[in-house]
Amino acid sequence: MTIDAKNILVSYTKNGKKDNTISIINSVDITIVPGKVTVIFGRSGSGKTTLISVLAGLLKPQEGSVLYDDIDLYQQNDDFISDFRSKNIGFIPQGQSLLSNLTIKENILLANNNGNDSDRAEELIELLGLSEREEYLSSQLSGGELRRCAIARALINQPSVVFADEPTGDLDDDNTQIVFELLRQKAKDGAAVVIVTHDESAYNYADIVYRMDGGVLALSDTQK
Amino acid sequence: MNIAKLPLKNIISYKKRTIGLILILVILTMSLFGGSIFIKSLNNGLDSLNERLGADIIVLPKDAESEVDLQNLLLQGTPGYFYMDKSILNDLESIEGVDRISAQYFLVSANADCCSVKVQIIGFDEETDFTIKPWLNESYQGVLKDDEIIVGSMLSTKVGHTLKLYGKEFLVVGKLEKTGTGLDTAVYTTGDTVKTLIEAAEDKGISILSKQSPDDVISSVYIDVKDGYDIDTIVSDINLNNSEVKAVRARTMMTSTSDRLGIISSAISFFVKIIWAFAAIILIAAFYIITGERKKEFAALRVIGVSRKKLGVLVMSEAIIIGIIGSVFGIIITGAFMYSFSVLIGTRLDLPYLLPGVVTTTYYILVTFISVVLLGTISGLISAYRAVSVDTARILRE
Repeated sequence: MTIDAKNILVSYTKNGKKDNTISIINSVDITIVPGKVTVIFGRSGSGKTTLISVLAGLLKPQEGSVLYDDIDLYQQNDDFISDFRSKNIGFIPQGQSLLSNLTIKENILLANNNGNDSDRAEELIELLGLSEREEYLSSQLSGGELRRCAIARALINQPSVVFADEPTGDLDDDNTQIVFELLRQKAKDGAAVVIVTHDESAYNYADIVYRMDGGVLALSDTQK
Repeated sequence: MNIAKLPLKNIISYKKRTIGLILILVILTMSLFGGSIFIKSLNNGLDSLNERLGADIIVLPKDAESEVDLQNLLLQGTPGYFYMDKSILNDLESIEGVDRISAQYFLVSANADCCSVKVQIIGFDEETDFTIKPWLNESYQGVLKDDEIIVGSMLSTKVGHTLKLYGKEFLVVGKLEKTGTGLDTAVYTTGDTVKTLIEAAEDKGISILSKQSPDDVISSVYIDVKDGYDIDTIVSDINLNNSEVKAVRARTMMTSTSDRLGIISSAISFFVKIIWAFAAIILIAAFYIITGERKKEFAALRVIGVSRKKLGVLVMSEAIIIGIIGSVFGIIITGAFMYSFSVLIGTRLDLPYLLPGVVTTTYYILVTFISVVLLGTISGLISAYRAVSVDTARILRE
C-alpha cells in the first residue's frame, strides 16, 4: 500500500487569535512506499509526531491530502478511518499507551481484529522477549518492556503500514537492534514502514531517509 | 479480549473508582426509593385510619383525657379506657340529622397469653355497629359469639387458637389485615363480652368502674350524619346540650395527625430533592473528572482503531452498567431496611404507618431504577462526549 501525502499543513492557533498561529507542519509532501523502511530524523518539536499522526489518520490537517493507494483518507468519515487504521495500520506511539488494567497479552489481543489470535500474540511476545511478562499488568513493566509490548500490539494484525514514533526510546542496545530488525523484516515482508526518531542507529536499517526541521520535511543528503 | 468486554473489565479492575460511583448511585437510590416508600406509608396509614374511623362524629366522655386517649389508641396502640353513662345514646338518637348511631366499649387486658404487654379490647354492638364490622368482615363473616374474638394483625396469635383475658378463654375466629395504626394491636369482640370482662376483672379485685354497673356504661358513640345535614352544627348541638360528653368531628380529630404527616412528607420530599441535586452534581462531576484522567486510555484505543462512536458506546456502557448496579444495590438495601424495620419506624414515629402493597412498591422500584439509571446515563453522555472529543494526536505528543 502506497501512501501519498500532498501539501500537508498543520498549524495551531494560540489563544484563539488568528494572528497567533503557530505552524507545525508546513506544506509537506511525502510518499511512503511498501517494502521500504522510511526513517524521518528530527529534533524534538520538529513536527515528526504530528506528521505521522496525520499520515495514520489520527489528525486531520488544515490543508492537504493523504492517499492510501486511491483512498483519500480525510474524505472518509471517522468510522471508516478507524476501521481502516485497525485493519491496515500498526501505530507505535512514543509514550506509554497501554491500558494499565490489562495484561500484556490482553493489551496485544485488544488490538487484534478478531480478538483471539492468541498464537500470533504469543509469537510476538516471544520475539520481543516478553514471554515471562505475558500475564503481567502494564503497570508492573519497565519502560522498555512497555515499548516492546506497544510494538507487538502494532504488529498483531500483520499491518501493511507501520508507523513507529521513537520505537527504541526506552530500549537498551540489544533490544534496539531486535526492534529495528523486526521492523526491517516487516518491510521485507512487503509492509511500508515509517520510523520517526532521533536515534541515529536507525540509519542502518533505513531505505529512505528524511530530515525534518521546523515543520519542513526534506530528503536527507545522506540518502542510502 | 476484545472491545466489547472492556467496559466490564474496566468496572472490575478499577475497584475504587467503581465503588465510589456506585456509592453515589446507592445514596441516590436510597433517598428516592426510601423517601417515596416512607411518604407513601405515612399516607397509607392515615388513609387506613380515616377508613377505619368510618363515622362523621365521635362522642366521648367530657373527661379532658378521653380524646387524647382515643388518639393514642388509634395512632400508637396505647391501651386505654374511659366510660360515660349509657343514657346519652337516647339523647343522641333523637337529634335531627343523625342517621346511624353505635356505641363502643373499651377495656385493657390485665394480661393475655399472646402478649408481653397489655392489649386494647374494643367491644362493639353487633346490631348497630357500622364502623368496625365492615372491615372485620374482611377476615370473619359470621356473627361473633360471646366467647369469640377477632385480633389485630400485630398480635402473635392465630385463628383457631385461644386467648385468655381476665381468666376467661376466648376463641380467635379472625385476624385482621395490617392497618399501620394502633388498631393492629387490639382485640375485637362484642359489647356484651366486654361487659362480662369488666365483671370478671371486678371479681379478680381489679377495679374498672367506681360505682356504675357495666350494663350502664359505654366508652364512645359513633354517629353517621344523614346527607344534607351539617356535621359541625350537630357537633355543636351535642356539645351545647350535653355537659357530660364531648363530640368531635372524626376528620377534625385526625387534623393534627394529618398536619404532622404533611410536614414530615414535605420535609422528606425536600431532603430527597436536595440529596438528588447534590448527588447528581457530584456524579456528573465525578464522571467528568474521571473521563479527563482517562484521556490517555482513550487515545490508546483510538490508535488501535476504535472509532469515536465505539469509544462513546464504551464509556456509555460503563456508565449504564454502574447505574444498574448502583440502583439495584440501593433498592435491595433500602427495601430490606424499610420492610424489616417498618414496625420500629411506625412505633418511633407515633403515626399511622402502612407499607405500600406489591403493585405500588413495584412501581416505586421501577421509577427509582429508571431515574437512577437515566441519571447515570446522562452523566455517561457527558463523559462520552469528552471521550469522543479527545485530541489523540495532541495526547500522543504530550
